[in-house]
Amino acid sequence: MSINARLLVLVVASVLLTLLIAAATAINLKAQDDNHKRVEKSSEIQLGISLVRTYFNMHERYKDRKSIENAIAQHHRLRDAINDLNNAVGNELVYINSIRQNIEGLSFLLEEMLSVHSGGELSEIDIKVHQHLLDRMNNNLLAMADDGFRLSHYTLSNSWSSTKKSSYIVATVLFLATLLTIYIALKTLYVFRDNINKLHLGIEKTSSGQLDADIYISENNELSELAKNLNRMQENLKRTMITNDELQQEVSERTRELENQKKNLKNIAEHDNLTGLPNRGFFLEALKHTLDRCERQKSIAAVFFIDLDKFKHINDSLGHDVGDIALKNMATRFQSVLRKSDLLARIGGDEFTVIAEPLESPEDAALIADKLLQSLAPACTLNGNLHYLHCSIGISIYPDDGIDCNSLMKHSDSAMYKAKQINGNSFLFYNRSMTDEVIYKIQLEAELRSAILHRQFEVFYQPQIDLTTNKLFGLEALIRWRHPEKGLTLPINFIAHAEERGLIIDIGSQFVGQVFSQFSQWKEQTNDCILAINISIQQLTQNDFVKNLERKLNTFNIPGELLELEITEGHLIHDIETTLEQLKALKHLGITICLDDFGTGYSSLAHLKRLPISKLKIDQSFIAGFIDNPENKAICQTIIALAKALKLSIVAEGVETNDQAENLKLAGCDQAQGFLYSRALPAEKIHELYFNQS
Amino acid sequence: MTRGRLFFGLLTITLLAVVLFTVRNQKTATFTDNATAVTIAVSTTPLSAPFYVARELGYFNQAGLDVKFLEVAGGSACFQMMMSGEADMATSSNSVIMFNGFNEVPFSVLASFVSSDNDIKIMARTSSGIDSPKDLAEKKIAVVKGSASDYFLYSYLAVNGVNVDSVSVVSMPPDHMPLALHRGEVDAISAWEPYAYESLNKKSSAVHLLPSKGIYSLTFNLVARPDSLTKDAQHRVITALHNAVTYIAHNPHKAKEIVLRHLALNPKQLNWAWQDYSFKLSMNRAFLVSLESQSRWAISNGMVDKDRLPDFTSYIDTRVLSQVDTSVIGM
Repeated sequence: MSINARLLVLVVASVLLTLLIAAATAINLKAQDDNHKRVEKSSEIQLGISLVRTYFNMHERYKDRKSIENAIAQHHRLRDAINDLNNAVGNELVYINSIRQNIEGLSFLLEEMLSVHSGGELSEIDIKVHQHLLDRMNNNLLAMADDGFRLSHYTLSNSWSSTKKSSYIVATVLFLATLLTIYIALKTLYVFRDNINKLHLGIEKTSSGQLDADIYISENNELSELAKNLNRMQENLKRTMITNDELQQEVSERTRELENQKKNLKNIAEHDNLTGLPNRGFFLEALKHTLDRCERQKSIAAVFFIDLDKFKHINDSLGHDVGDIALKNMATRFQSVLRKSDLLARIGGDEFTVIAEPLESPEDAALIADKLLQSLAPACTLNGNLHYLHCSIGISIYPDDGIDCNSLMKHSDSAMYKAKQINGNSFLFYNRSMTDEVIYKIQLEAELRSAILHRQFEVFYQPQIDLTTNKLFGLEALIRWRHPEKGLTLPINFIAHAEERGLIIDIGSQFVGQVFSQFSQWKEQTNDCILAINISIQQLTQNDFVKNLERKLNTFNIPGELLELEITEGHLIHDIETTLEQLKALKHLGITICLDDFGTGYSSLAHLKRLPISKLKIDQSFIAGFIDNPENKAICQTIIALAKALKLSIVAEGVETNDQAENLKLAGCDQAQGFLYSRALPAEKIHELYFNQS
Repeated sequence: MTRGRLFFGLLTITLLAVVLFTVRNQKTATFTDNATAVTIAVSTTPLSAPFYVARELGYFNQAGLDVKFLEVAGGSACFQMMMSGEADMATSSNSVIMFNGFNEVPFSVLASFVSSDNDIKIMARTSSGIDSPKDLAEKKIAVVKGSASDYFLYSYLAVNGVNVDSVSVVSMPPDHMPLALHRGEVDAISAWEPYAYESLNKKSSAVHLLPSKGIYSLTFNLVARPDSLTKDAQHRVITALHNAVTYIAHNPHKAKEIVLRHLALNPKQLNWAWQDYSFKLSMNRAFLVSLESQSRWAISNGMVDKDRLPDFTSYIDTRVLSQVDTSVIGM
């Protein structure tokens, strides 16, 4: 139902209610008026009866004709009045009928009485008749008076109850009509409130940006039409919103394109057109950042200055186009050998620069430079012919050769110039000694790798003598490198470098195998000779070191108790936490741990107590001045006393004189080794001296 | 919408139920006990119409009564049945009450339910030359000796100034009167209905009525033995009669139809008598005065062997009537 129709119904209902109230009031008034008239009539009748009785009483007293005439007149009026009463209710009619009957009877009696009094004086008979008539009339009037009273009574009570009844009916009808009107009003209000509430919620949702608020009004009215329109509006809004999204997407795409263009422009600005490599500006900027980083991290970096040898010749003879091809070719080759972290740039003509970072040492820079040189080694096809390209490289190291971009660039440039002057196709450090050292180290490494490959290491043994018995206590295995050109080389010349380059693992492994193989042959002749081997800390920290060692011991059937591992004090102390477990495992195999070069490594007493070591080796520097230098002597004595206190055995190295041996013996030293007893000897010699039983 | 309609419907039904219940309750609340058995000796005359109507319309049942009628001809016989204990109540005329008042038997008059001031009539043979009351002198007039008919003639003559001794009074049963008048055995009769009507309507007989309305008021009354019924039972009977007289006032034709179904009367005959009837429950001084006048006549004519008027007020009991009908003033 539409809102208009609802409101119309409400208005009609209200108007009807008002009309009903007016009609009810009118009906009630009419009923009351009727009742009032009935009451009035009944009172009139009662009054009429009373008047007839009054005239009757007067006649009774005066026996006159006039009273009878008056009574007759009044009696007629009474008859008219009673005939007028035609809307009697309930019992009223009973008494009206009764009064009518009595009026008829009275009429006869009155006429009779009038005829009695028609002549002048009353005869005796007349008096008797008069008396009889009086009795009858009295009786009749008594009955009428009674009826009159009862008629009034019933008229009053009936009119009251009819008023009450009609009032009740009117009240009930009005109540129901009011109820109906209230119901219609409430229903209309409810529909209004409900619909407007739904609209309100929907619009509120829409205004907050939620466009999925579907407003549903079940009634079919103006507000539901409004809801439908609002829903349609939402749909349209939604469509518009989608267009906005697309617009947004378009804008962001354009922005991306612009950014790409900007990036490209920046790229063009920062890069070399020909090779696509960063240009000078970009390179210097990057170098600045690199130097800042290196300063923060206290690390080193290298700047390479590369110049193509005889590029002018190529340009001149083959043309610039070919020259460009050669440059592009070079750039590609350089790039292929550089690490990702290195930066290659073309700063002009045939000049390239490189930032090599990070670096462990200048040698790394040398290796990279070498790779760059090597990358040009294969022939390059230019203009259909094979050409060999070469370049010269100058290297400056941050911070040794400069701490700013300018100085590093200048120095690397001058180093390159020198390299070109020498012969080209080579690299030079700005610092010449560094160049030599680096070249030496690179060479040494290469040689060591070759030595490992060609098993150029040999084992020499130096006997250790029991100072108490002066007999052989053990043999310390010492490594020697049989260099193909330089001859026998001492460990001091290569071990440090081997450790630095991580070659010590392979060397040590090869060495231990050699020693065990040899010692296993001698083991039969001497049961209690100890084999002492020097172990680098790098070896010890290998995860599988203990396992490998155990396997080798088993392979050569050497009991762990015969093996003594010497570890340099200084190295061990630096890495005590990681090595502690390994040492314990070694000790578990029965192997004796000896702290080598004791006294030079600042080991604390706490460390001595913690480490599972069994032996100390006093450094030869202390032994050298043992006799003449009282401080050295005191140190030796203290070390020996300390060892005794910690229940460690002690061995002295570098013992050269009997005095030294005697004094050490006196001091409580257990064993000694040195030139006094024997130099380190090749295996054959040792075999000859100690194990040649035959 | 559905919920609203349901609410409204329920409300309307509830309201209607309340209204109906209240209206019905007002009608039936008074009598809800088990029906009380009452036997009434009813005279077979149209004057007993309120009883027939009350029974036919179920007013006795509504009042919680189980009423049994003993239908007898004449109020005197009814009175005897009541006194013998066959009936609890009886319908009797004022004459019967008057004579029994002298006998000092225990009874109560509870109410008059009808009166007629024209039930007994003087019917005269036209051939006898009786045109006015005065012409009755020296004529032979039939009466039912010692009854209302006798008293009526006395009153009629007195009111008209005719010496009672100048007429020759013949006593005969009422049903003989029409024939006696027709045959000329008497010149006039003082007869009550239906015999007055019968005499008037005998074929080939010239009989006319001498006007006498108002001379004598015949009433029919409800009488009871004081010990036979409780006041509650009396109350119920009178309530039923009260409803009946109201019905008769408003529906005279239907009431007459009911009477015709019970009594062997022709409608003309009933209409003739009915026009003078006034059905109402009453008990007033007029009744008492009428009893006393009749008593005085009875004494002076030697109808009774007493020389003093009985105290009729002691026989009249208006307590129950005035409870049913508050307009009754009583004695």
